Amino acid sequence: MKSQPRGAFTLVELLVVMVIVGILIVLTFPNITALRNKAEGVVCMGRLRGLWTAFSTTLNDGNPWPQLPTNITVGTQSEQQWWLDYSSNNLNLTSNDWQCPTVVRNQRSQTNTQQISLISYLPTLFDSKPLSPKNWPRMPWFTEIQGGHGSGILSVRADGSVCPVQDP
Amino acid sequence: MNLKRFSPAITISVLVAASLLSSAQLQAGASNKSGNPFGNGSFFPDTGTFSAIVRGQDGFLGVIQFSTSPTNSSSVIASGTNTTTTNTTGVATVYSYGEQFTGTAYGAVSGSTLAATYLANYSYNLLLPNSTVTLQTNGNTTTNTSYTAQAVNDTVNGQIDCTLYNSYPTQSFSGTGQATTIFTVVNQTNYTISGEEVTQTNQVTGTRLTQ
Repeated sequence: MKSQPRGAFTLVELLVVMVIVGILIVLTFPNITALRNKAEGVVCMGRLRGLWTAFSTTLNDGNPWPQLPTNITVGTQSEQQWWLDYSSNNLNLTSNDWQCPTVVRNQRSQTNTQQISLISYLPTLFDSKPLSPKNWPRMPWFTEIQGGHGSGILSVRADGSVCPVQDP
Repeated sequence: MNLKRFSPAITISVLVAASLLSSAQLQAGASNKSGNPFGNGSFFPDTGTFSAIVRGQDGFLGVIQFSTSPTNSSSVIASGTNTTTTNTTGVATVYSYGEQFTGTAYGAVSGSTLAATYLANYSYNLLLPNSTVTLQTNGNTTTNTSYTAQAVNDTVNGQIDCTLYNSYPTQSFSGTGQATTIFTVVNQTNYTISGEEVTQTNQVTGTRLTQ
């Protein structure tokens, strides 16, 4: 007996499948993005805590909070480079320790390289008195340059806790 | 109807639609350059939500977030520009000398200029001595002092002026600001309360959060 040849998919069937797959992608993409941002938030919290540990150690050794040289303008890429160099030379930190994965991903496609942040966490500018950073336990030491994890802008505080800046 | 007859046409339509989609995305990127359809040398509209971090010496730190909306009146004046968008209430969290101030922020954008103001306060109670009673019992002197809780309010009032930079798909801004903080001071002789004003200049960096 001759077997019936197996029929191929029709164009309509293929189109229907493509449309359904497309709808599913559209529906799940925002959730996937939100989940990814939250997951990266955990990495971000770890890095903030890592910065706190490094700077806390140097303060405990009796060193003052790092003071920007007068020729460096606050808020510029040169300031960010200075923090990278300082922490690399004195605290054994790498540039990776200063990067939030979400910020890095958002910046990857930026067209203006002058506006790319070299660090994702901005240090608070304490004075040179050794006790100033530790005077107030809830004072943020490092603050995320932009919030992207769905929980506001994260900061690590003098007591080592990592939480949104707005939290009391 | 035999759909197979239309298959080349449908295939071509799908390919054309796909190419148009990528072309539109390319246009979005390209429109970051000058001469774009949005004018003002800016791809981004004047409306949106913005977040700024304000830093100053002596541990001054502020995080403000605000949205601009497209109406014709404005209560924030960008210095030297005609502000075309007005503000809706935003939030401000400021740390200064260990105190955490919370309050509101208002901002506006005009072309490549962003301006914002914020007002935040920190309320707490001060215990002020109001009467002292000295008792002498069996030769021992005891001094009892009663205190009254006095509610006080420290405030910080600041403003920022920034320049916006387009780096599609991100828009960032940076600039300078000034903040005036009024701290409560107690006269240790007569326990009167007064305000001590501290003005600081600070640096601002921020980004657009939403279109």
